[in-house]
Amino acid sequence: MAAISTLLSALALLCHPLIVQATGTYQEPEAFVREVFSGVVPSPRKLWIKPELAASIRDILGRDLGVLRIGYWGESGRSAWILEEIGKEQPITVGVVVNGDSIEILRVLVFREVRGWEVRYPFFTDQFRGATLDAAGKLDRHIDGISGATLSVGALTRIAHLALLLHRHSEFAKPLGDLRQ
Amino acid sequence: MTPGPWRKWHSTTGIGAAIFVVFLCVTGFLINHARLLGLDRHYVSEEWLLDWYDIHPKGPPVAYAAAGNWIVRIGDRIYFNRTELPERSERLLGAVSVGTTVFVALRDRIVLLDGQGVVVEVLRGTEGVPAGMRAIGIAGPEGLVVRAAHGDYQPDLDALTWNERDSIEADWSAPADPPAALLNKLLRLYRGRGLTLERVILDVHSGRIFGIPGVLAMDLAALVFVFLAVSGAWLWFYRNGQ
Repeated sequence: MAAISTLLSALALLCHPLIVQATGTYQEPEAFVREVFSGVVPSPRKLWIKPELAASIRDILGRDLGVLRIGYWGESGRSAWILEEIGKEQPITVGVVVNGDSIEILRVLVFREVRGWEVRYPFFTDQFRGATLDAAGKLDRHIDGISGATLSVGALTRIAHLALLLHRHSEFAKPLGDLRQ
Repeated sequence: MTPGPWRKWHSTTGIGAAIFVVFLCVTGFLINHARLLGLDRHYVSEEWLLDWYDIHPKGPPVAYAAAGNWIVRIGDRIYFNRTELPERSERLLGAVSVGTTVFVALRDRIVLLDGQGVVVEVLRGTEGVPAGMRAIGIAGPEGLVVRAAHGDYQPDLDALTWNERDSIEADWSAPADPPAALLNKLLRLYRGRGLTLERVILDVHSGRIFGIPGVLAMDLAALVFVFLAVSGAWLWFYRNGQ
């Protein structure tokens, strides 16, 4: 009985850090932007959500973005976005860097749900590295899900798609001719 | 052991449990397909059920007036006149208007609205909004000012720079009492978005909607199902063994 009690206590202690770290802020959005621009953050830009872009966003998210313009940062064909999308009930804050026309970095910055936090780990987010939009404007790859985190997986997939779309409408997008090469 | 008494108990218990089985199957099916059926997006509006769940805002509403509009926080919901804004926050610090734009200060961001309450933009720490915001105001011709933990700030919203000053004389946004009719309307709106049908079905399925007695009743039903399974299996093996 004592051995069982010890084993259960050890298991609880092992699990506790995982539970504590599951929700919360993994990186402040400001710190993410500073990191991806090596400490020299360019002046923020504004992207107006015009009707055509709004319609494309609605196709991706199933809803409007909720703002008329969105801020981003960029230089030399590279843009950084701080985007939020709801998993089950709470928004997940994600930082995305698009370079050229593909995703360079996708990182979960703030996670507020009690389930689905496994999406923060590189084994999942690395799937988005190099992702781009295909000729039909869809994400060019299938993203493997995580059992028990379906809604979080869906949210991050939508964010990746959205970031690539927004980049194409930003000042740092490649001309369409270059994309076809 | 003869099957006679067991068969009688199995039959009697089975008839009594049948209604629970049907009930749990129906609610279980609905729970499994809640998202497809939109049950997580359908909100309960029946007052008696909202009262049963004690769906009431924690704490009194907080309201600010700006350019003839009312910005009201109830719970973590923010309303612009009678429209709920997409942003949520446990703190509403103030609201001011500059030109045709209404600036609403929440705990960690400033929401820019046009005259109709459409969200133009949300400014956060990434856009330089100072940490520890306490108040928002207007400093004469100099425009928008923000009081934060480490000082007062005046933004250049085009360049997104924030100029820190030790202290700025400003007309700081202060809470006010909105019209009673508006407040009552907003309270009804708040309650009407506080409880999803999915939540109710989950609690009915588990018995939790009736608290501990409901949960214990479902536990008892589970034991009855175990009895039916064991007795049914025993009767089957007994019959086939003969």
